[in-house]
This record gives sequence, C-alpha cells and structure tokens, in this order.
Amino acid sequence: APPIIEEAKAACVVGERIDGYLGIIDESAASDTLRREVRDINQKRKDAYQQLASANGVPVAAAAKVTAEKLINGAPSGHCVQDASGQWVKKP
Amino acid sequence: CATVKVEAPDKPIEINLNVKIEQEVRVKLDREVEDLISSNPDIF
Amino acid sequence: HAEFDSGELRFVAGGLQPSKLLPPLIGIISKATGSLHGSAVADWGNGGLKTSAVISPTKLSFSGPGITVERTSELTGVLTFSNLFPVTTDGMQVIEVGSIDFGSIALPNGEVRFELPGDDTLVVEEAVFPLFDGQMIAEKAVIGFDGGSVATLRAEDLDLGAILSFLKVKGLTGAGRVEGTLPIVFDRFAVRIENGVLRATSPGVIEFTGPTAEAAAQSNQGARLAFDALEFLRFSELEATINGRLDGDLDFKFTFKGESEVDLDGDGGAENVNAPIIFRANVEVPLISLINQARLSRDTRLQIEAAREQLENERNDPEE
Repeated sequence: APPIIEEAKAACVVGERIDGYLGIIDESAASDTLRREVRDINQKRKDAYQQLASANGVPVAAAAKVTAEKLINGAPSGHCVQDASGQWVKKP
Repeated sequence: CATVKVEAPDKPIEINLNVKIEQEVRVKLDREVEDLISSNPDIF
Repeated sequence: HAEFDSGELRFVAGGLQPSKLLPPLIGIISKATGSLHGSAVADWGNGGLKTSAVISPTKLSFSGPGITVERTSELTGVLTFSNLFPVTTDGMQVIEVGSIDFGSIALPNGEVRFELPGDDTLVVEEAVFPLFDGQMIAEKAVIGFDGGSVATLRAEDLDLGAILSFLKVKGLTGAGRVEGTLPIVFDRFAVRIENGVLRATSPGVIEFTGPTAEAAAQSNQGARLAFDALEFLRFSELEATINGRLDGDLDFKFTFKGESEVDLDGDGGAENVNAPIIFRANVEVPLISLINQARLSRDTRLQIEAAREQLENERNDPEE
C-alpha cells in the first residue's frame, strides 16, 4: 500500500479490520488526505472481493473475511489489528 | 355403538416447526486469496 | 474569485472520473458512468478558500457511496453544494435513482431526500422505493462512507405473494398484505436486521406443496402434521420477526393464527378435519446469499426439527 498508509499502520493510526477493510483507529491523528486514501483503498478492496466472490460462488463477506484473516496474521509486530470481537490490539 | 368422530378441536392445535437451512460455504479460497493479495500490492 | 463551468461531462469506466475532477470524492464514488453538468465558484477571502457548486447528474451510475452501498444506478437531479472541501451539500437535496444496491438487497426506482453534512456520512431524510407491490420507505438513515451506517426501513402494504415468489422456494406461494419495520444496521462487520417485524394487515393464505414440502414432511411425525397444515393454511393473523445478518443467517420467527385441513390421527387415514391452528415456525436460513445464488432448493441441506405441542383438550374423548 502507498507510503502514507504504511506509515499510518506502523503508527497504529490505521489498521486491518476483521471485515477485510482498513479502519481508522486514531480519528484525531487521521488527516483528510489519509482518510481519502483509506476510503479509496477500501472501495478498491470491495471491488476485488466482489470479483473473488463471484469467481468462486461465495458471498462477498466470506471472501473479505478470509482475506482479512490472512492480512491480520501477516501484519508485522507493532501494527494494530482487530481481534475477533473488533477490539484493536497491537501485534506482539 | 360409539363411533369415533374426529371433530375439529375447539382449542387451536399448536404446531411448532424449526427449520434450519444450512448452506455450507466451502470457503477454502486460500490460494485464491494469496494470489489476490500478492497481485494487488497497492491495496493490500 | 473563479468560476468554472464543466459543460456536459461524460464518464466512462476507465476514462474520465468524477474523483479526478474533485479529489474529495475519492473513495466515495468510483467507476462512474453517465453524465453530469456542473458549475462551481471559488473565492479566496480572509476566511480562506470558499467553494460552492451546482451539479446536475443525468442517469449517473457509480460504485458507492463508500463501501456500504455496492452500486448506485441512474441517479438524476440537481444538487447544490455549499462546500467542496470536504464535499458538503447545501442542506437537503432530492434525487431520483434507478436503484440502490446494497449487495445483499437492491431497492429500485427510489426518490431520495438526503444531505452530505461533510463528515464522511450521507444522511437520508426520506427515501421511498416501490417494492413487492407496496412501498419500502427509509425513514432515517445515516450511511457512513466507512461502512458504519444505520437505516430504518418501513414496509407499507406489501403483497405477501410477491414476497414469497421473490424467495423462490419451490411450491411455496401465498396471498395477503403485510406491513412492518426493518431496522437495518450496517456496522463494520455486517449488514444486519435487528428486530424487524412484519404483520398481516388482512387475512391471507399460505400454500406449501410439492417435492420440497413432501421431503420436509418425511422427517418425523411432528413434521408431517406441520407440513400437512402448511399445505393450505388460511390465516387471520400473521406476525413475523426477523433478525440476523443479511449476508449470513437470517432468523425468521413466524406466528400464524388461522385454520387448516389436517389429518389429526396421523395414520394417513382419510380423517381430515378443518382445525383451528396456532402455527409457529422458526426458520434460520442464509436467505439473501442463497437467493443471490438461487440455490435454495438445489444443494442446501434442509434440516427439519418438528415439535408438536398437543394442547390438553377434550378432542380425544370419543363422542357418544
């Protein structure tokens, strides 16, 4: 993802949600430019999930969820991700 | 002789029906998701 | 002071896009097609940059807004904006829209009164959609571009027969009128209905016959009576509560009060009698995703668990 997102992730301003989308964790630290970038990426992800879902005959939310699990597991330590209940937690 | 005549009960019959329709979503998609992430570095 | 008139702009997939013209639209609307005409004014005063615009889309379609709405199609209207950075409408706006598709369900031919307060949300004051021969009215809805949204849909005078045919369950038909409310919560994880209620506003009929019904009736004694009753159930009262995820399991709890011809002694004898019935059905079904994939009858496992409560009444005593 673009540098502005990677930096925000490293600073736990943005993180991977369990629904497969990027979430803003620290609203106060999120500039308009960052918000715009997050919205843009999330719309592009939704598009990608729709294509993946229809290619495999599964609901869109299911495709997004499987991707979320991979993204969350793959997130480096120090990044913040959502746990199953939706709480933001910092990867050890 | 007594004839058994089944008459409509004055009290309504209560019927409870539980239906659970399952659609096992065979979501393995592992390889497909790996490809999706690796082929779209700008959004993942 | 600067004025800008767009003339007639045509958007095509992969070509000119609204977000290119107006960066604050990035992530709100994308993959636009259709056309619009716009004029904007920008003033640099001591208060900084002040912008306003009038934008007239004609059959404009796009993905969004945000990720909550999958696709908005054929939007037409005249929209006035009090600010473009961020995009803020000048109060309530009225538009016609061909359809608003949430992915799990699409609402057609709506008229929508909404505003963009400029805080990454879209506030719907009222939206009316003809649906199932009646109307679906969104009373208040706040759609967050990030997926967090709440909407309350009011169903007015819907045709039960049209609803049942939409469900595409082989052999399940009916007649009657229903109304109710469907509070929909689009939280970040799912689109859910919370305490949706539909009630019949007139007596009606439910008919469930054919292979699916017969298969269901075989599972056990209770099921046989339940589906015997459902073959032709005239109801005076019907209430359905609906809870669950639109993209997952939806839990319907039906309560019918009415009558039906049932084989009381259950031995398959000819002793059918028209009995008053209180019929409660709890149906848990991944309904919407199945409808989307139209696979309800084919490869889904139908598990029936039928329980029959016998009211203690004198019915069993043989008459003299």
